[in-house]
Amino acid sequence: MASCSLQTIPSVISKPARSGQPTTEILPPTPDFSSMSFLEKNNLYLRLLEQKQNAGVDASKAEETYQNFLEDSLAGTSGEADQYLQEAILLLWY
Amino acid sequence: MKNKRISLIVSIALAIALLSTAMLAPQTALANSGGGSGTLIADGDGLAGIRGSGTVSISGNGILWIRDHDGDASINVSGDGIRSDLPNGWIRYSGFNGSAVVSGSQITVALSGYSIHLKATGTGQFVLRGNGSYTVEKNGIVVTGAWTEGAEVQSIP
Repeated sequence: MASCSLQTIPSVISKPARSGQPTTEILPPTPDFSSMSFLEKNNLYLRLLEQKQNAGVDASKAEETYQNFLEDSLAGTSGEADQYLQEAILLLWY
Repeated sequence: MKNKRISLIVSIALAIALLSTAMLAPQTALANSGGGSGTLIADGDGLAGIRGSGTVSISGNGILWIRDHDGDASINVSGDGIRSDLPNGWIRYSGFNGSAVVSGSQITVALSGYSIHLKATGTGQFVLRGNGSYTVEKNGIVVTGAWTEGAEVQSIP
């Protein structure tokens, strides 16, 4: 299975702490979709889906989104299809 | 004399060109007509999807999708996978590792994953995304190609 590229700079967000003092939470890096081929993105989705399902996580939202990717691919609308594929990956990413 | 010889050569060349065009034209029209049935054979990794009328045999690993639009399909699936019958008419096999043979007047079959082998006979349209190769054949005319990065819809025959 092909590997994927990841952004090297992690996303950082702030959220209020219980004490009222802001703290930072470092989220895992997101995939750099612009540098990935279709095959790499599709393999990433399949791998994440397998991991989540093995862990007992509900992946139904991602699967619904992936179905939109499938239907748009069959219709030949690559742009919309790839948006759905990336959205499905992100639904499984965190 | 020299001019007559040149004219003769040009005339012969034109005649050959016209004959060649006449001989090739019916084959080109046949390949592009969309009539009749044809055969698609594809191997690769990524997404292979086809919809139309006829018989589709597919094997590999990943997620298998089947849809029977007219309600007359014969569906035979063997191997591993978790079946889900979705409200919109799709049948989905997650964690699929096996093979399927689907026949019908209006069917869609798709497999997303790897080690995909697809053979389809009939009429319809297909999309092959990823890495792989395919051949489409009708009446002795064979077209070969590669799977594409984007979603390019092609026809059988």
